[in-house]
Amino acid sequence: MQFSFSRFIHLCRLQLAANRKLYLLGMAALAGMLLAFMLFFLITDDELSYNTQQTIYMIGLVLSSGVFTTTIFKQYAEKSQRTQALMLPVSALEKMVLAVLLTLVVYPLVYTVICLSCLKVMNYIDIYWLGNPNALYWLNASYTPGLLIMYVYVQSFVLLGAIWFRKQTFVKSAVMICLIIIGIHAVHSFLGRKIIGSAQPANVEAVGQKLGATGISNFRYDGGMPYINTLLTASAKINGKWDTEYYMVELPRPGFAIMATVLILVPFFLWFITLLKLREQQL
Amino acid sequence: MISLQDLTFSYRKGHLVLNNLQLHFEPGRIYGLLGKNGAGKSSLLYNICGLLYPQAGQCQVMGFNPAKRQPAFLRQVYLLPEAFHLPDVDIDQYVRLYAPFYPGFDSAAFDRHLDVFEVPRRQQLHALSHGQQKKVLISFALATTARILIMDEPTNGLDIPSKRQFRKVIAGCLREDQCMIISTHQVKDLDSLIDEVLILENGRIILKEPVTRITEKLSFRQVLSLEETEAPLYSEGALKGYAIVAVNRREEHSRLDMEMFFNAVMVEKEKILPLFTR
Repeated sequence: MQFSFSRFIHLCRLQLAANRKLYLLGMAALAGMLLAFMLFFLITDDELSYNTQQTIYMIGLVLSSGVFTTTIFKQYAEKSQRTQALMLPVSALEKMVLAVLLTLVVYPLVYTVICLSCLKVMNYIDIYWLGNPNALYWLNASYTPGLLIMYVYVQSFVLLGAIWFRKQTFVKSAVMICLIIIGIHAVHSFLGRKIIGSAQPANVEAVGQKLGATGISNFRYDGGMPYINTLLTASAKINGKWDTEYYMVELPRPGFAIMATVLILVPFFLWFITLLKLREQQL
Repeated sequence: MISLQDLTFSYRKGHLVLNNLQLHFEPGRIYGLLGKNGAGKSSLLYNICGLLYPQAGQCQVMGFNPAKRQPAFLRQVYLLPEAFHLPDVDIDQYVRLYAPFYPGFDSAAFDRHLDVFEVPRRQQLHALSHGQQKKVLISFALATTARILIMDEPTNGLDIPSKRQFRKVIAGCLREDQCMIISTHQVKDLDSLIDEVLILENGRIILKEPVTRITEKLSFRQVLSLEETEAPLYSEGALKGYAIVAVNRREEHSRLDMEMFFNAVMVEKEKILPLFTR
């Protein structure tokens, strides 16, 4: 593993200079599309609510960064560019660090500046022209940090797809991520059902009393996410009807620690695989 | 400088592109790599650069394993590919962006080469013709002072005056510690430059000889009639009679006609190759 800071700086300069026009046009196009979406919601909903602003920010970030990330290794897609890209005297690690920096730090920052600027403009119109006193979304929702962490996960998968697939990278990466999400969900469901089986809470009567209900017969497994300290959620059958109340079941501490470690290591693992794929690139 | 030991390479199983190659390249020489389409010339060059990995055997370039593509190796090897892509910047920006990766980059030499090639300096690279872009890349390649320069069809796309300029530039800039490998079909453009000829066929090097030894063994000349000379090894109809390749029995000095030589080897392998057996 070789890393030279001065080479890395030269590589950053080269990346930005070689793609300058693409990036500037992309930023203009992004601002245009965001404004168009916001205008669309403003017209159809007669307002740009706080929740709508939040949705536009999050979905826009995930989708547009996905497109951006799939182009980060575009120099390996065509033979003429691949030859020169592979012969450039930089290490795979330097290329990888640049890709991670651009996709996980620079792009979200640029996107956030553009999106929040557009939101500010549209919110002004919403308040002062249309008379809707909607608050401005300013990354201040309680779950924003959680969604940004999810962004890191999605981008790590897309980054791997960007080097794995040479053609139709965005489509193939999107399919790969969908398959992974479906796969993870299926594994969790399977494991959750296996773990829970026909088990019932030990203090089922106390639960019933607490809920002001009697006759809790059984619990239904709905799904689980062991990485965030919830093994599963389940709803109860009370007096023959499924209750909409959900009950969280948490893993004991050692089990949770293992799952949390897995969660933290996933992006690093994906970056490592991406690095290996970068190193083994051939013509 | 470059040592290939039993190097074997294939793109897919059962079809060897390079078959057990044993080759050594020395510094201070220009090698001409010749072969028909699909003979494996580019694959050989890409194996030397580390762009393709051999299936078996060893490839050592200046003590490096090319497949690792370490920066210290890559800054000593410059490949000028046949097809290339240049960023949308001007020539000065291109130099500012790429030269720092080559610590030995000689800006004065780059300017000199561009002057010889008569390339306008203030233009965006995308505004230049393909031939002019190639001249910029050739100038850059030579200015890197990389110890190994590999050129795949460098004269493709160059006009006739540019081919002369190319020969002039190359002839004047190779240092003693540098080695140049030129793969080409346009042998007439380069036959005055090349020190050693390699002919690749079906994944094997069938001939690797210095130009001096080729002209020592063979004579290249024009005759009015084939009867006026002993039976030539190979002949081609020419404007005035015939161009022939014959065994050089009288130790005559003749100038190597690379295209004639290559055609002769392809057609009369059984007669020509034994002459070079050591």
